[in-house]
Amino acid sequence: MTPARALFLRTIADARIRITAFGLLFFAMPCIQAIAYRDSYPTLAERAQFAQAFARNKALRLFYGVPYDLTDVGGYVSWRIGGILTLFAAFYGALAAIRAFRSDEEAGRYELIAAGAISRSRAFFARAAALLIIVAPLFVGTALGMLAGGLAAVDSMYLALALIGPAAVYAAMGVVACQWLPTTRGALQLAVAVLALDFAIRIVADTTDATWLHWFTPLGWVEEVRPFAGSRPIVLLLFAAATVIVLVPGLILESRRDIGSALLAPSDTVRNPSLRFLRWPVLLALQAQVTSLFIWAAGIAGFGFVVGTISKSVVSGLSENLIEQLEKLGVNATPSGYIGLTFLFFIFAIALFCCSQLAAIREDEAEGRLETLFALPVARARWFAERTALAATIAAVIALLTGLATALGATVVGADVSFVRLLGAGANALPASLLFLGIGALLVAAFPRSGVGLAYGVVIVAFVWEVVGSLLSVPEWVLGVSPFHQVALVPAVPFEPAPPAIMLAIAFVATAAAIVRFRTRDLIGA
Amino acid sequence: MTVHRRVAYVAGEPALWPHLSGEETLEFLGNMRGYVDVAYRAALIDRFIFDQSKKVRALSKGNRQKIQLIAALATRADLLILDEPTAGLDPLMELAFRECIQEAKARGQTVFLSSHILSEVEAICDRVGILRAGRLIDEGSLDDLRHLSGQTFEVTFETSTPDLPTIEGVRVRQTEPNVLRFDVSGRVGPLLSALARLPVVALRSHEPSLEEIFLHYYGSNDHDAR
Repeated sequence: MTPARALFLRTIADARIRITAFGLLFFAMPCIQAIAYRDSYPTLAERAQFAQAFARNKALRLFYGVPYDLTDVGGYVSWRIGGILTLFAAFYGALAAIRAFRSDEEAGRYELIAAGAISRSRAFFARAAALLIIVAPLFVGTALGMLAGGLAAVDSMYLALALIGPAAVYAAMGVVACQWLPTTRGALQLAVAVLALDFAIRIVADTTDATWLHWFTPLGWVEEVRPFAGSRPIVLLLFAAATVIVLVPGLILESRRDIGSALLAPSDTVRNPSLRFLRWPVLLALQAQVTSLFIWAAGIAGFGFVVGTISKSVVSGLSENLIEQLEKLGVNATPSGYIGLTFLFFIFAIALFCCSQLAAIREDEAEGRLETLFALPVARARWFAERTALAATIAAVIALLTGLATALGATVVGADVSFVRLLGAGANALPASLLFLGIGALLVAAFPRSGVGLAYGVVIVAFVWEVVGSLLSVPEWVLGVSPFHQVALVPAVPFEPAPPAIMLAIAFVATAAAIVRFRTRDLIGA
Repeated sequence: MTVHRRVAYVAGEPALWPHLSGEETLEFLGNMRGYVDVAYRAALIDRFIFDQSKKVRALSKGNRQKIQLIAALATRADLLILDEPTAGLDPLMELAFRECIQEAKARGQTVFLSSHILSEVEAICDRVGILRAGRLIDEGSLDDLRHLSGQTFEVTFETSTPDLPTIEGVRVRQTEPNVLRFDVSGRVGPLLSALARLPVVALRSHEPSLEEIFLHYYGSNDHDAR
C-alpha cells in the first residue's frame, strides 16, 4: 500500500461514525417528509390550499428557505428539508475537513505521517480525496431517501447533489480555516462563524425582496437549483467551481507553512500571566473555553432575538384556513405559539451545549490531565460535581439570555407577548436541558470512551423522535418517551410545574449516580 | 486527601494544560496542593534553567518534565513518587535532578523512583526493587542484590581458552578469543581450584553493576518479560 493510499483510508476510517450518522439522517429526512406530506395532503386541492397559505409566510422561510412548488410532493420535500439539511451538510463538511487537516497536526501525529515517504502535496491530495468520499454518503443517503419516498429519480439526484454542494464548499473552507488557526477548536469556530454569516445572508435573501443575495452564499445556491420546480442543474457547477477556488489557496498555504503552525497562531510566550484563574479547577476550565462559551451563548440568544422580532409578522393577517393548516403542523398561530415552538429548538441547542461541556470534561480525562490533578489533594467526586455544576450554570445563563433576547426582539416589534412570560420561557427550557446533562454525565461516568458520543446520540434521537413522531401521528405514550414532548410550550401554554420537577429530579439522581461511579472507577485514557 | 497532601507525584508522561504558560502551570499546581516552598521553587527554576513564559503546548517533553519536577520538589512532600522523571532531560539537567534528589534525601524525604536508566538508580537509590511482568521479584540494598546475583570474574588465558568441566553455580561466557567470563553464585572455591591448573595470565573480579543484576533476573527468559 502506498503512503498516500494509507493516509486516504485512515482519514475515511476516522470519520466512519459521522459518515454513518449523517448518512442515515440524510436518508431518513426526505423519506419521512415525502410519506408524511402525501399522508396529510392526499389531494391536489388540499395541496394547492396549503401552498397558497405558505407561499408568503416569512417565518417558515427563515428555516426552510423559499418554496417554489408546494403542490408537488417533491417540491414540498425539497423545501422542507433543503433549507435545514443544507446547514447540516455545511457543518458536516467543515467538521470533516478540520478533523482531517488539523486534529492530527494539533496532536503531533501528523509529524509521523509527514516523516513517512510522502510529500506534503501528496498528503494534501490524499486527504482532500478522502473528504470527497466522506461527503458522498450525504448524496447517497438523500438520493435513496427520496427514491424510497417515491419521488422522481432525476430531480431527486439534483436535490441530493445540491445538498452535498455546501458540504464540499465548506470542506474546502475548513481546509483553509486549518491554515489560519492552529487548533481544531479554533478552526471549527472560524468555520461556524462563516456559516452563521452565510446563514444570515440567506435569511435576508429569503425574507426580503433581495432574493439576488442568494448568489452570494453557497446556502442560497442550494435553493436556486430548484429541484422539482423547473430544475436548474447548471447551478450545481457553482459548487464545483467554488470548491476548487477555495481549495487552491488552502493547498498553497499548507505547502508553505511549517507543520503545527498557522497564519494566526497566537504567541506561545505569555508576558502577563493571569494568575487569578488558577485558584480553582472550575475557573481554569471556564478560562480555557471562554471563546466557545461566547459563541454558544451569542448564537443561541442571537437566534432568540431574531425569532422575537419576526414573531409578529409570522402570524399577522393569517386566514382562518392557514391557522388550521399551521395547527396541523403543531404551530399555534399566535406570536406566543410560534415562540413556544421555537423554544423546542432552543432546548435542543442548549442540550447540545451540555454535551459539549461533557466532551470538555472527558477531554481532561482522555489527555491524562486528571491523573496530574488527582495526584494532588483534589477530590475526584468534588471535581466531577463542580464541572457538572459549571455546565448547568452556563446552560442556565444561556437559557435565560435566550428568553431575554427573545423578549427584547418581541418588544422591539411590539408583538403581543408578555416580557415576563418570555423570560419564563427561557427558564422553562432549562429542566429538559439539565435532564440531558444528567443522563450524559452518567453515560460519561459509566462508559468513558463512548459516553460523550452516546450523550449526543440521546439528545438527537429524543429530538428527532419528537419532531418526526408528531408528524407521523404516533400514539401519545410513544411520543412521551422523549423529554422534548414533556416540555410545556411556554409562552403559548401556561407553565406546568410537574414535568420540570420530575425532569430535574431525574437529572439530579443521574448526576449523583454519575459522581458515585466516577469516584470509584479507573481513569481511562483516549 | 490526608495522604495526598503528603505525597508529590511526577507522571511518566507529562499531561498538563496546553494553554497555560510554565509560570501559570506551576502556580495552578501549587494552588491545588495548598503548600509550596516559594523560595525553593524559584531556586529550582534557576537550577533547571526553565523559561516560565512559554506556553506548555510549545514545550518539549523535557521542558514539560521540568515543570512536573519543579512542582513536585517545591512541595517538600514527605514522599516523592517519580515515574521515569528524567526522560527527555539533557545530561546537565539530569545532574541537577540527582542533586535535588540527594537534597531531598538529606532532608528526610522519601523518594520512590521508577526508572529504566539503571545508572541513575545506582547513583541515587539506597534500596532497589526489581519488577518483572508486574511482580516484585527482588528487593533490597544494592549490596544485597549484588550478593544474591553473585560475582563476576574475567580470566585471560595465554593463548586460546581451554575446555573447563561444568562447575555447579558457575556460568561461563567467552568474551574474547582468550578471555572467559564467569558469573558465580555461591562459593568461589571450586572455580579457583579448576583455574589453578590452567595457564592464566590475568584474573579480574568486579562487582556486578545494577545492569548486570538486572540482566541476571531478566536474561533467563526474557521473551515473556518484555
